[in-house]
Amino acid sequence: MVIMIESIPLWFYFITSVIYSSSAIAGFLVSYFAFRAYKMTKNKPLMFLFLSFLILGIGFVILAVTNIYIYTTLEFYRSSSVSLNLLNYQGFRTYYIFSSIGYILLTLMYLPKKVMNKLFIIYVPIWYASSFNFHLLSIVLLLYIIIQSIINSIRRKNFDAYLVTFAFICLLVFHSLLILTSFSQTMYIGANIFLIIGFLSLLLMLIRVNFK
Amino acid sequence: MSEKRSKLQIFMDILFLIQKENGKAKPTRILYGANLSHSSLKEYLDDLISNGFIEEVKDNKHSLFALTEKGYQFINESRKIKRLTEAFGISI
Repeated sequence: MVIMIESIPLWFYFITSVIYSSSAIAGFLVSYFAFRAYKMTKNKPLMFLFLSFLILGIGFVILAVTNIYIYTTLEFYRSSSVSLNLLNYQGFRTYYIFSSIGYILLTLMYLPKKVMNKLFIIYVPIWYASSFNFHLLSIVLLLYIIIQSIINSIRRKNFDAYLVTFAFICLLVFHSLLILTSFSQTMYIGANIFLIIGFLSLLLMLIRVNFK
Repeated sequence: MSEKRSKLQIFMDILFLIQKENGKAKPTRILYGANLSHSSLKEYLDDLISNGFIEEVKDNKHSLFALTEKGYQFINESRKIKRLTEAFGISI
């Protein structure tokens, strides 16, 4: 993502900002409804669901702000000798940290209660300087989350559960395509399309859950 | 093997059952419908009354338990919670 800054058309940074902002809103909505449910039930996995989507949402806000910043200042930096990469890098790195915590909390939600109770300290890896490390960890965590989600979907045969599984699969594709962005900018565009589809799927699930 | 029901789950089972019986149900109907022992039924009904979700009413000398407005609201909220937790595969 950092390497590509010069190769992506400027207008697409605006589009990605909209995508990240929309994903953040969807994430905050999931978090809000999970919080309401947690307040009523005091159920630990619901607390993890609430915190994970809150943190993922904050990560997407950071990403949206970074992209808007690139969109509004890239022309200036292109015409000057100042490098934009450092600012861009900090924005993405902050997103990596938030997003990683979010996925770790989501994974905790699916862990058996006995294991979950022992994991009271969440280790935040600081070595996410490399986007490859971050995406790889996200993929591994999402694979576990998807397996649990598929098991739940098969058990329940419930359309809302299918929507959640589909959303997590879209997130997995999003991270997988982002790893490949250094080969083609089409991957970057494709990744963002999968991201917005994933969060739209979560929004649809929320609408069905609350207004059906 | 089925999992042990949480207190909230039992609350929900009792309230859904009363709602299914048009908002009023006899204790024996609740006892069998919610699959509870006599002693635990009394405990849960007392809890539900003290939370204001149900009230005891008399109907032809029979004692019935009826849903209150707060009880209906709780059912509405807990249905949403149930759907959300089922979608994510969380057991409550």
